Amino acid sequence: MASLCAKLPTLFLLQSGVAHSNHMKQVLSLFALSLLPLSSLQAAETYEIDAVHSSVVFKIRHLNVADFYGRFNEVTGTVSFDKENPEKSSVIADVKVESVDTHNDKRNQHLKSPDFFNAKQFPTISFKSTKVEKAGDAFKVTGDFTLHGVTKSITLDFTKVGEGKGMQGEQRVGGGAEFTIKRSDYGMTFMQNGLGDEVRIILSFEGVKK
Amino acid sequence: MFLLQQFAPAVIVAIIAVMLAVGITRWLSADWAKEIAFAVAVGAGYAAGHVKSTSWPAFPPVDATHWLLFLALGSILIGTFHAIARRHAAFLRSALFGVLLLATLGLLLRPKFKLEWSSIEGSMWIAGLTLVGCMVGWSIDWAIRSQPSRFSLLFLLVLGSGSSVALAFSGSLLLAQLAAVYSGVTFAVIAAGAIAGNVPGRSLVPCLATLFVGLITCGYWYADLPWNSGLLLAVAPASVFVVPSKSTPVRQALIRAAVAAIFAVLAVLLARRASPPIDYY
Repeated sequence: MASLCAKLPTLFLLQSGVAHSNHMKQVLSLFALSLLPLSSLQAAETYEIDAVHSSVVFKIRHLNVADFYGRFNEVTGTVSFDKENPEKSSVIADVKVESVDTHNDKRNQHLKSPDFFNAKQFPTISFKSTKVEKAGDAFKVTGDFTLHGVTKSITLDFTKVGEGKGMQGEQRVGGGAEFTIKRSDYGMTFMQNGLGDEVRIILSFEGVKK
Repeated sequence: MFLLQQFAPAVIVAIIAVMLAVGITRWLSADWAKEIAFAVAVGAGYAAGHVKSTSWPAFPPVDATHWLLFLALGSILIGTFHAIARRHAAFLRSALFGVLLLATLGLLLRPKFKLEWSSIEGSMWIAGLTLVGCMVGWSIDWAIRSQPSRFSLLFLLVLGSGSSVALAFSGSLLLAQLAAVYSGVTFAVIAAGAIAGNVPGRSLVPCLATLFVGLITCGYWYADLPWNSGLLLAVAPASVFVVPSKSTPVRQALIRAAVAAIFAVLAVLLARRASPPIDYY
């Protein structure tokens, strides 16, 4: 692709076969225009979510007594981040329901059963962005959130925390978001008397540049 | 106490629904009409308990286990046909029951076709389970008509209760609750039959057999019901064939219930053994 781009001006000149300077300018302008989308594509950087340094934590009210926290240990996905044109950025993330971890095997088994996540029928929770907007220092990321087989559009306020080099010199970027859902909106209606309907989800991810 | 609060409303709703429906049979004189009332009673009774447990799901349901509700309602139609054509059209009755079983298993296990199974593997599972379902249906039918008694379904009450406990150990209180609703419905049919003086008819077979197989299927594929526990529960209804037929109907029903209890207890013990330590409820 790069070699083709390098040859293009020559090809243009050969094909036009003119020496007039105004014509030359037109050709060069056309060439510059044709390269615009290419330059914006190059500006988008793709990061792979690093599951080891990323967290998907949830919080739910238990018996109306206290808030309880759990987490998912396996998250995968990519973040395509365009610094120049943030609206061209995108996020795809998948969480393995089987990796739910509440520090108790029996409770993990219960959460994976048809009472809640039904992990065998719905093995992943996913998010796929449809729109990204810059909002001050943060980003508003709108996307399709699929949980328990139900897909709804949600908007997250995503804050970039920072970027830098990792232990092996790899480029890393990270940030996070928090949002609240009603589990009943996703067909998870069991034990409403024991567990709250609202679930707070706390995301923190670190991405490694591909 | 919390578990009792969780289970009681669904069971009570199911019992009330069945008692009401069976109560209607007091005002019905024709046998076929009484049988239809029984079919409506078990289907609607289970549906009421299911809805009380989970709220009314969307149609078609997202969660495969919620098909049990709609299949219970659908089984009323098949039960009604069984009541109307109870002495005739044996082939058609069996064929309709087979269709109900195929639909039940196909709908409950559709996600497995999407995610895991090849069409050949899935078809083999469905065919095998349909045979098990036919065996369960045949067993219930045999128990009802070999020596009719108000207590003919006692063995099924024992198996439903055993399934409920085994499913609770397998990680799903919802399925355990639905099995408890099933037991509540069976209990109500026995109790209402005793009160109203009616012997349960074979119109109950489609609903009771389909739901029993459906609950075990959901337990094995969507919860963590161990295969050996599920297998014991699935084959247990066939024990009705090995009970000596020379005793009185009530005695026979009690022996069948006792044999079923052995299967149920073993299934519960196996599910208990496979369960992680229960230290969080």
